[in-house]
Amino acid sequence: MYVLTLPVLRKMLHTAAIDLKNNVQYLCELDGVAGDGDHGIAIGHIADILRTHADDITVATMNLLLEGIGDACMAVNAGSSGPLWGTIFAGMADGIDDQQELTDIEFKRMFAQAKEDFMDVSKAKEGDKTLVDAFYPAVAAIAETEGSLETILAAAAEAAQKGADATADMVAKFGRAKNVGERSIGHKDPGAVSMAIFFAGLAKGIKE
Amino acid sequence: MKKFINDPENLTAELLEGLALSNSDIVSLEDGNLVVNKKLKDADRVTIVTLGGTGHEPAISGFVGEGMIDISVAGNIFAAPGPQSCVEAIKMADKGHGVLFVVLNHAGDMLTGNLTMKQVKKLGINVAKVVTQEDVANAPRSNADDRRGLVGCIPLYKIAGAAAAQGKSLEEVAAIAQRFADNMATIAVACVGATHPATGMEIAHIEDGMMEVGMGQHGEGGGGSMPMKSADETAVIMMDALLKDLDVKSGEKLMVIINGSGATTLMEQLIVYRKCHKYLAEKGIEVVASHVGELLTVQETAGFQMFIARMDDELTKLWNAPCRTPYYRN
Repeated sequence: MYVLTLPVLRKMLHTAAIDLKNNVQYLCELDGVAGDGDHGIAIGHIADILRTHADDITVATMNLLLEGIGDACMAVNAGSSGPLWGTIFAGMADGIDDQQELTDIEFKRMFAQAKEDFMDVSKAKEGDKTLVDAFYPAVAAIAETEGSLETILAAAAEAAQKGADATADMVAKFGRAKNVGERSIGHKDPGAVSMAIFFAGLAKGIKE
Repeated sequence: MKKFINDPENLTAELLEGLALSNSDIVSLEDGNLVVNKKLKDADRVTIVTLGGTGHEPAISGFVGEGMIDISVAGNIFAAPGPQSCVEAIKMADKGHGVLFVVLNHAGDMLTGNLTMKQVKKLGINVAKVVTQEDVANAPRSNADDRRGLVGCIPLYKIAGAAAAQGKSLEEVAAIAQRFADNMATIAVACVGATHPATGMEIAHIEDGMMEVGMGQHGEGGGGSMPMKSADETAVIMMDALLKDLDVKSGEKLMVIINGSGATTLMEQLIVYRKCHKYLAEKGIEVVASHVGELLTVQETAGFQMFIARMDDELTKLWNAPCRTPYYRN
């Protein structure tokens, strides 16, 4: 069974944080189409949290690391992204025991639990033009793909990217963007795009 | 963008600091962007907590004080705070009589509201949540869950705050607030959009010579775009939509608020109000409570929100009860 260690998880989160931070301006511009142009600001805060926590080597277990990120995201006072991402990280922490390495089965369970916890707080479905359009396909790819963790995460990143791309053709049915209705067609959902950047960052980080 | 600001990252922190410094006898600013009623520490009653983004001044933190909000949890510009700060606020606010938690129906606010409720229930705090969702423009009344919360939260804070000050139980305060919420309606109009003060991005674009009826809080579209009309014509279009939505009949009593969105002058707001008042009188509808001015703004948006609520004697008395906050006093 492939094993994910705490240092590798740190590297994955660290890499994702840097990629998210580099896209703050782009995410703001994307959000300016149907929202109020501040998605990148919230993601910038989340990226800072990811990086600080990932780099803090005093945190001894994966569970504590993910829980810490979840709590910090919940305290981000910048719109839905904080609580939504916070729910995902808290869910990942929920899905594993207090341990320092994960088998591939445990790795899959961690993401499955994140989705379950997320469904508890958000009624958004795939096709509603939200971060769910990237997040759920990524979790599904993690569940279905066999092979090394690199292979699994590459599949997740690809699924998330495909999902985010597909949001361009969707009409927003959720969040603030739903108020602009058809005007949102032709532009990708910023929440789905940032989620795809996150999974791409994880996939990149595990290879480094 | 021409705005008198400093580092865009610090907008919320600096505006809250200014609010607290200029009203140091009424409010204090606590960790986690909490604006707290200075009289809260001696309160022996139901208390009122709310949350919301900034950039809408004086809403919402400008209405913290005696007889209205006890703690407002501020997010970032146009963005809700996270649940952590709200849980802290509710813990701080609870004086053993329970807390009324008012949430405006916007995606981020609702998400935080729901996550907060989950946590405070675990803590065993008695909290009743009331959601304001009175925008008639973006969904029919039968689909209220999709209706945005606009300026209606402000008179609701006033009425709930007065009910709490009378020593009513949480159940009673929540029932009064809900009754008021169920009987209110708002419609917005804008003719010039605003820029997001942190990103500098245009948050609504309205063509020259046009106005948009049904504009949301942050300049989101959703209503009807039409050529610019006179104050009286605009007032009638909007009032008709409100009366129809609430099914107001001759002989009924209403509250009417004209809320400037930021760049529309008080002169214009008063001209619009005058038409509303006379138009209602012609229909045999009495205005028993009114307010004209800026309560909830959207930066330099030119436009206004027109609000009505069906009133009864109890609600009118509560509206007229004393209160003292930075931006509303009776």
